[in-house]
Amino acid sequence: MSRLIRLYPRPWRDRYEEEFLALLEERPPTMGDLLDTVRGALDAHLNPQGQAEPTPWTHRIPGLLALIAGAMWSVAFIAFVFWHDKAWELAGLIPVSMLLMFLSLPGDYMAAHGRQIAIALGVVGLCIVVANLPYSPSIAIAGVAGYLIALGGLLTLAAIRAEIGPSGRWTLLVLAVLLPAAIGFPVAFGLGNISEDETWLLGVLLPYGFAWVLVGLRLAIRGSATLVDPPLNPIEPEVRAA
Amino acid sequence: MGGRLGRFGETAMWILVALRDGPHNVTRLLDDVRGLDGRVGPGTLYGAVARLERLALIEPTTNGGGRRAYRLTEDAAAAPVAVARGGVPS
Repeated sequence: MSRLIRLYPRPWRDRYEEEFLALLEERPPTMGDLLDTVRGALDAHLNPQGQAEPTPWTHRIPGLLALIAGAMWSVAFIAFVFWHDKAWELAGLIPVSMLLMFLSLPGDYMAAHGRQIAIALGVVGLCIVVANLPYSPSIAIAGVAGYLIALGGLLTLAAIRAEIGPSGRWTLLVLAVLLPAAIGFPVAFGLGNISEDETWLLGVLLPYGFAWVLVGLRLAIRGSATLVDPPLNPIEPEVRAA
Repeated sequence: MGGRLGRFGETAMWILVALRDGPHNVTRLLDDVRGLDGRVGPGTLYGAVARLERLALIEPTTNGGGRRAYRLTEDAAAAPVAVARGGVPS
């Protein structure tokens, strides 16, 4: 019977396992009870009771956007290997996917993981710049400028979102559109210049796309506030004043 | 309410009725609810208990033997009637 208990999610078991097992010891389960327990475990996964309300479907949007963005980014670079002559067309996917990445990123997530995101973006940007430098110094310079803007913007966004209000949220939205433009277009133009010998770039760029897919999956399952939703854990006015 | 208790609504109502006699541990709760409803399994019982706890209609306490039991909260006084009508007390 204890094996069946393992079907329940960890938070549920932490809370109820001991008394649940005591109950089953005192009232040995019938076959119907065992099926009912399995059904209860399924329900505990689908409807966790740790939160006050079920996750609104709008809170799945950021995760789904991030997932799509990561997939788009990855597909663009995989396709780049096989159809290098189409590099310029494929390059168009890059700014679009970066736009989605930035639009999808919930501010509280950004505030919590700003450093990791900044480092990942920095590494990706550096690789693009290094790969472009021999072919097009001007694009490499544009790339550096774009990434400097992006890194500064990320830190600013994290700071804004930590105590973001309605106006700050729209500021975030504007920046989230401008930043991908600043980053994405140099990257996109750069992709068209990269020779097909430089497949080492994929070692960096593909994991970046896959990481976004994983982040998207996690956010979609957990749920997170969108730019137009109230923050999940709003800061109380008296706390803010203090 | 249906959306908040779902298929556990009826069992939740019987739990609230049973707890009007005072705190019960889950074994006694299961016996009482089975006496009232007849076909409740442990998975359904805990699904209803978890929801009632989330809605702050019941709360854990300890009985004489130090074992966890559940009792009605103050907000739950009118709960069985409200649940039976398809709503929860605000």
